[in-house]
Amino acid sequence: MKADSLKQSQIMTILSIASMGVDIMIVQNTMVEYAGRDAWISLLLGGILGVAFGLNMYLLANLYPDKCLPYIIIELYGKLIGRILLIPATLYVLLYTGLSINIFGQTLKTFLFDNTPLYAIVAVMIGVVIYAVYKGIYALSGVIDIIFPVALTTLITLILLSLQQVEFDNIKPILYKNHVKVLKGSILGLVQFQGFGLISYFHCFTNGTKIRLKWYFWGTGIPVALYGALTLVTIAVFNPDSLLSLIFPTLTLSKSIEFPITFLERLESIIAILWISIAFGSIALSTFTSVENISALLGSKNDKPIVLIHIPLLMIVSLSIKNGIKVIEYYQMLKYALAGLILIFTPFLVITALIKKRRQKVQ
Amino acid sequence: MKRLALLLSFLILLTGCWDRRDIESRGYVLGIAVDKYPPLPINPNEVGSPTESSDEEEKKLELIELYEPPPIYSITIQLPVLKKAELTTISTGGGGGEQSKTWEITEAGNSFVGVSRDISTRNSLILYYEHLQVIIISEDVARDGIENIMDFFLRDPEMRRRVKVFICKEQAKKILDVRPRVEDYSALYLAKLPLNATRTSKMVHLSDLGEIINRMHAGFDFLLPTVEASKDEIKTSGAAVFSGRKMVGWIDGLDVEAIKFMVGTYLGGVVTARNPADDSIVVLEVTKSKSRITPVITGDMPAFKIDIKVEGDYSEDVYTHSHGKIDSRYLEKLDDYFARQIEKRCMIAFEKLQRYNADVMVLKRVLETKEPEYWEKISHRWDVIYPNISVVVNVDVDINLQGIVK
Repeated sequence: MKADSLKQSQIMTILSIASMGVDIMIVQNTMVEYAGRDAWISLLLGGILGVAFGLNMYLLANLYPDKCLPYIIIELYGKLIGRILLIPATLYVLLYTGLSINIFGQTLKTFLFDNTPLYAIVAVMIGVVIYAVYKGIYALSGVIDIIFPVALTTLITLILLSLQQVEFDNIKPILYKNHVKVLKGSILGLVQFQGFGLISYFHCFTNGTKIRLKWYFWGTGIPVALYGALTLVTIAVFNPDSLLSLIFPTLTLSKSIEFPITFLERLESIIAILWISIAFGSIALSTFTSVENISALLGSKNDKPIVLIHIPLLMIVSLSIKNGIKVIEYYQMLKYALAGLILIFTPFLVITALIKKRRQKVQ
Repeated sequence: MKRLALLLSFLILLTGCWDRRDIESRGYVLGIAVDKYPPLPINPNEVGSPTESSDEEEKKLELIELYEPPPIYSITIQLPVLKKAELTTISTGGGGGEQSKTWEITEAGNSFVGVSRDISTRNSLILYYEHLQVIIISEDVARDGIENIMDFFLRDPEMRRRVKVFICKEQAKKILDVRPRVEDYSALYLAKLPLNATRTSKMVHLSDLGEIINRMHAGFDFLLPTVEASKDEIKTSGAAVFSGRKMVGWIDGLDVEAIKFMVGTYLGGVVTARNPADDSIVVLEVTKSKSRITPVITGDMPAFKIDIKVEGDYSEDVYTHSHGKIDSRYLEKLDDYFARQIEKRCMIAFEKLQRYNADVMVLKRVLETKEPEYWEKISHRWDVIYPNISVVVNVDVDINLQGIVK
């Protein structure tokens, strides 16, 4: 059996897929609500902020190359305070994963399986996610490697095909009396790229080698560019006012594409099917981090029971809300909470780690 | 043991699907016609219309108990009768005659979902809208406001944003009752007509559901293509003008063509002009057209300069014999005749739009994007300003080819 270790390049695929998933279906609506026609600029700024904050995590992971984030927190602040600090992050990841599964189910119910009960879609997703996580990091990263080109091809194809519908007047005038909203919106943009923080969870699986910045920047740059381009194209196709009424703009965008011949008449179904694999990858990665968090919180040496506990936990969270709009609202609220966590907690964590390392050197 | 468990699990997991529907149990809705209730009577003398008695019988079936009576709309859907799809004979007896390849079912109601479900009391097929091609709306319904009836088409995930929308001067149902000579289904026949926009620009070709929804949400006025029919033919030329989401009037095919020149959506067509030298008619086949709209701000009242660059081929002359006469000077004169003709038509069309107070060229967006500060000052008065603004149209025509005779 191969060792549970990652190649450097796999960090790129993990960071990219972790940032896509469910958000890629709804991000445009959220961003336009905040920043109007300039939402794509907010998103790009948010992406740059995300890369910067992710660098904190990169630095932290390099300071503790054999530990993942929850164990680093415990190492830095001690068993009691470290675990107390870990509680909000653990709750966040668990709720985020559960709500992501719910949104995934709602999207599929809306566009593909209208008669299939939500619990059936959710149960199947949780089943395959848990199986992948149970098999360990090697199996999970292997699947992510397969999903990565699928995700890239799907999104680039969608963006290119949508260009025929684009009206660039819909994004003009650019930045006209909208600077403040764009800057505020960039904070919301930042949380769309929370997946960048996952470097602090997966770095320790690279056998202690320092991850080259090149892979980090590729892994973060690809989703920022794709999100930015997708949001720009969606606004240019629908115009900001129309976009506000769309719950799933990306799938609606794929429904808007028309071929002169009836070839690919149901493009959105193909996009939805390909998106299932992207969502699976993203949800599996966040489940993996949830397992790591709970293991560290409970001080468990064996991850397997913790993985299995996630079956009922995720079922409860993901089936607790039935209405699609309510789920998205709670999901957004959760993200605002994350913005606080990232902005306050991340620099605090890195500064503590640097001070501690310096003290150790002095000693 | 593990393998056996795996195999047994396949029995449960791979043998069923909640969303399974047999293809023959689906009713593929190809077209929807929306009329006001009660619909206008169909001329009983017309071939293809139901007899008076069958019409009366059908009218009884069209009514169903409603939560909130009275019914507002009379909604007709067209379903293909797949078993008869190969029939080559033309139907006699509209609305479901024995030889008909389609079934047009009309139901009265005040909501589309309600009507769609109530049709299940008369039809064993499960209605399926993924392949919907056209929505035809009668003038009466359009004048009340098109937004009133759009929600169902927007909200339902089965609906496609590329469904073509048409406005009918008469009863909308009549369009679906057409038995086309070439095509199998009237809805498909109508949906394909806008594809000819590269050959003639007298029809509105950007008229799909997505386009309308975007324009309505952005608060823009718009055009929808006019449709008329005989018993076996459908024609779309000209457009219904919408201002503030309500239909306010009609414009003809030449107006549509001129508007396309001005907004730069002209795909192809023919322009004819009179040669004043010998009173003959000269014909230009347009191959390319571009436009640029520039706002000109002078004081309180904005003006617009519209520059149109047209390229085309000299195709024909009528009432004259130009053979041997065509040289560069003659072509320059022709360029000028065509340019003046297009300018004249553009001004006529624009004045009509101003009379309707319908900014279908979305000049307000031109102002908003190019002069945002000025737009902020006047945006609240745009409805008053628009009918009085002035437009200068400059057309530059270049003839590229002239056939094989000089």
